[in-house]
Amino acid sequence: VYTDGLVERREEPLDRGLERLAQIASRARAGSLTEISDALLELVADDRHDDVALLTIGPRRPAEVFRRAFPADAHELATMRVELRSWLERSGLPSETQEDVVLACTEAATNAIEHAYIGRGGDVLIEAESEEGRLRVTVTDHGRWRHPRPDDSRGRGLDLVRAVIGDIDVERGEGGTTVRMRVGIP
Amino acid sequence: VSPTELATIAFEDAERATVVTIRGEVDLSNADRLLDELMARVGATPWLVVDLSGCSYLDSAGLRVIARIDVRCRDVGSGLRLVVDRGGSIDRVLAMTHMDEVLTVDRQLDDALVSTLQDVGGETPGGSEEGTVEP
Repeated sequence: VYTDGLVERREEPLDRGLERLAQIASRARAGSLTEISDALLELVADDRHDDVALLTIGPRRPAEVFRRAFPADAHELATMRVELRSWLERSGLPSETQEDVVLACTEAATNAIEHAYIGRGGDVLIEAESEEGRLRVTVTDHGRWRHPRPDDSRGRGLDLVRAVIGDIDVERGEGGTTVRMRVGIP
Repeated sequence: VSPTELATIAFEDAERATVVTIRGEVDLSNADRLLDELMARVGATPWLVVDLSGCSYLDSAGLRVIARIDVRCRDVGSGLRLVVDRGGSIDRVLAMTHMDEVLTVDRQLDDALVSTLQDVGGETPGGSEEGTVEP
């Protein structure tokens, strides 16, 4: 929805303006609402002599979801990273932050492998969901956490996760451990 | 190169140092192998130079390896130098864990090797008063 200031120019017929509008709109249609608005406002960037009001309306983009369960085995970690990286490439996160998320998920999964499933098999589940402006990541296992011995330097990976992600919440129960992380998408 | 690009290790002898070049990714799956390979080289030369500039991923499993190698080097009177790209992912991990404050980090392999030659009368391998690393 727009006012005539977007397409009307004094020195040319209205049809020319409508044509330009249609061209730009069809090129920008795949973008977000903000991107479409920005593209349409380019119409008057060089020649603004009237007020312009523009309203773009669209359905909320469905959340993109990553979900992968794998056996709690260190040899699964590298493949998980490859898949997570390729999903994160489309998330809109800066590449440095993408790698932070990869590190955080590997650390959480490493903890599950080392502490939750000692001597027993089990799965680790990684779920990520990106919505407008936010990425939520959850790493879940169904093992039983063993506290590292005091002289054991293992199990400190979560400190590293806290350093890179900041917004993290660890829930340990009888039924397993859930690590929840939230990252803003600029 | 496998699709997962797990680390490869190469060793080369320099004048006063053993240069260890680690490429690819280091995680829980290969950290123990890496530790064994590195431990076997500690003490063979006055310096151990670990070149991580070709390493694309390293997490707490790899940091544990570096910390343990550092302790062993100090025990036997050797020096440890790391080569890490400035601002890269490994540089950031070292900074976040404050390991960069206790380890000797160079940005270029050449710089590291020059330092291993100049230490006579200056820096003595393993002689520093810095504390040990706990990742």
